[in-house]
Amino acid sequence: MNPENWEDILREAHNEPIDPAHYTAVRARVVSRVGLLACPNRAKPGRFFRHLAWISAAVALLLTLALHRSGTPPQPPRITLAIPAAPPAPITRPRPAHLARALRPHREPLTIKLQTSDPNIVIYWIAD
Amino acid sequence: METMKALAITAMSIPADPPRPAGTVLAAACAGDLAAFDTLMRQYERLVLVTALRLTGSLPDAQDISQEVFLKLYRNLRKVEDSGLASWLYRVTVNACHDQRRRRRPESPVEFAALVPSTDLDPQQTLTQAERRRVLELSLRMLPDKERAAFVLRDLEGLPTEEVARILGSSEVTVRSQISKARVKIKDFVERYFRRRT
Repeated sequence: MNPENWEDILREAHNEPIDPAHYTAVRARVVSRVGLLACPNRAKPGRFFRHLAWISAAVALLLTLALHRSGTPPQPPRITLAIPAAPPAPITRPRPAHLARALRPHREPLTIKLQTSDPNIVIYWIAD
Repeated sequence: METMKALAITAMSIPADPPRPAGTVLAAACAGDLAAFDTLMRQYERLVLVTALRLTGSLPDAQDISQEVFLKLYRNLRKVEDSGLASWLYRVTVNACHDQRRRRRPESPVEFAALVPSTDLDPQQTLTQAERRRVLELSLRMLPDKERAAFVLRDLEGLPTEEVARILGSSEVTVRSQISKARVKIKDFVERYFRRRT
């Protein structure tokens, strides 16, 4: 080989055929992956179960709502705080006015003495 | 369950985008024809695998990258233009190789087992072939990523500089500079390699 023709040497080496088995191996790998890509359920087996879980959850939610609505109407909340009733008022007969006045205890009338600047004038205010 | 499956199949069979012009393999693959997609892979498998092999220097890595590129193509069938498919594949391959190299430093040893020696060659020819391969692998390996990509696309794959610039997302001036540097380095390496051998 003549190093002067280095470009030819490299080009010839570059153009040497490659074993077809290497191409076949690549194609087989690609086709198997493409087959998985084309079939979503096979490509990701977990996806099916994820969908199933979501659908189950949705069905359960719908069933719960449906059962809840079709049943008896909900009872109103009970008042648990009891207000005690007022004690019964004693029944007494009204007394006659004269008797009531006679029974009323005697009290001294309220007397207020007002002194003015004039010592001869004193004002008394008596309240009954 | 059956209803869900039927709905899923119906949804898959209805194209979300307006239909592409029929008559091309890409259009058929777009419509969900896996056989057409297989034909598409056969058309471009050399482009992707060999480019990835030159950029990574490892056959298992190149195969992983090829798989990644074709899966990406499958996901983007509706977005890819028929005329620009090769450029799109080159770009995605180069980007995937850069990502892979970033993820996997330090570099793994170069593998030379990718190519099959022709059985009809005599031992001397086989040795020469193996040596050529070795020179190519080592030459590319010593180049920085961007120079290597520019050199592989321009000098080995034979793309015009303009297209290489488009694929690499650089200007033509940058690509020319990268190729020029790469050529100088490779020429120097090959000369030293053979001088040491003799």
